[in-house]
Amino acid sequence: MAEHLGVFEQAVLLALVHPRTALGRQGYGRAILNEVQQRLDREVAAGAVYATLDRLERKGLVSSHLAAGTSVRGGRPKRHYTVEPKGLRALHASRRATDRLWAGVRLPLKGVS
Amino acid sequence: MNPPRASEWWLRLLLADRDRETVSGDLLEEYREAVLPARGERAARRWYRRQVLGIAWRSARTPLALGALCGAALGAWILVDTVRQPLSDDDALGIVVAFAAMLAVWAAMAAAVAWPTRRLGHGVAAGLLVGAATLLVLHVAAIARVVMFVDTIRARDDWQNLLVRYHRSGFATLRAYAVYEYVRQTPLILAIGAVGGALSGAVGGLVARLRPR
Repeated sequence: MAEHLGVFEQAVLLALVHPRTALGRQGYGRAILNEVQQRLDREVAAGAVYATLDRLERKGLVSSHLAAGTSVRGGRPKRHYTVEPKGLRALHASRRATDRLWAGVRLPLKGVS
Repeated sequence: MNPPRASEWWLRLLLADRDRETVSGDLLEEYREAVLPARGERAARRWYRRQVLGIAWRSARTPLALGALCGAALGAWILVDTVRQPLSDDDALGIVVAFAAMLAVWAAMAAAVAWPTRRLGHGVAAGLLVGAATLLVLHVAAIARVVMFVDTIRARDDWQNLLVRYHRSGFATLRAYAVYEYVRQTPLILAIGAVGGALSGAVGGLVARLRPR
């Protein structure tokens, strides 16, 4: 059975699977933070992204490797993330669950008076 | 242009060995390339401090919650015990045993928090937070006990000194005076919890640090 993903976890995984910006395609912490902010259309705390990446990595949904840093970051290394097959399955399952939830609902919603 | 030095130092202290360089590098890069040019120096420094506070809060949540849980359990126990035996004094041996058990629980909680990072400092910080949170919640329960049972427990031997102080105080009711005394002790209680917790946390952090890889 696929992992159940929260909205924020989905945003982080989608940032890796389908980045919309050149920076996002690099798949390291700062790039993911920016992608997630774009997708959610709000400012996001960096700590929330790192905590989520850490959790996803412990669950085996993403993996990471270190790469050399640049001068703008004081030479500090970057940690690049990649989505694992288990992460892709979890994303598919989340999408199917959302589709099932909204099946037959016509927009815009009308309130019951 | 660099972010606030103290915040950067604190950030590096908070992060696990694995993340120290990468996460601080990410924030430095975002600060220099995006936030500083877009928002100016003051706002950028505020942004950086906010990110560090967010990471600190995430680190502090678990020990604070564990401490509050521990304090709530002890608080419930003293309330139930007061209902059962309202006039029995706290015996010295019982207090020593309970405090020793609490220190051991704090050490275990600190070890659990420091386990993934293996950092002694994380154990100390976690212990400090667990200890302070435990005693704060326990102290609130003790104040609740005073409010609920003051008419009964005023007859206890260990309350007689407080009664003498109350008669000299000018307070209208014993309940109000007792609550005033308890609230006044809060900083001391927090300090005892923090110091005791930090010491226990050092033990827990050491256990986490020395565990086999």
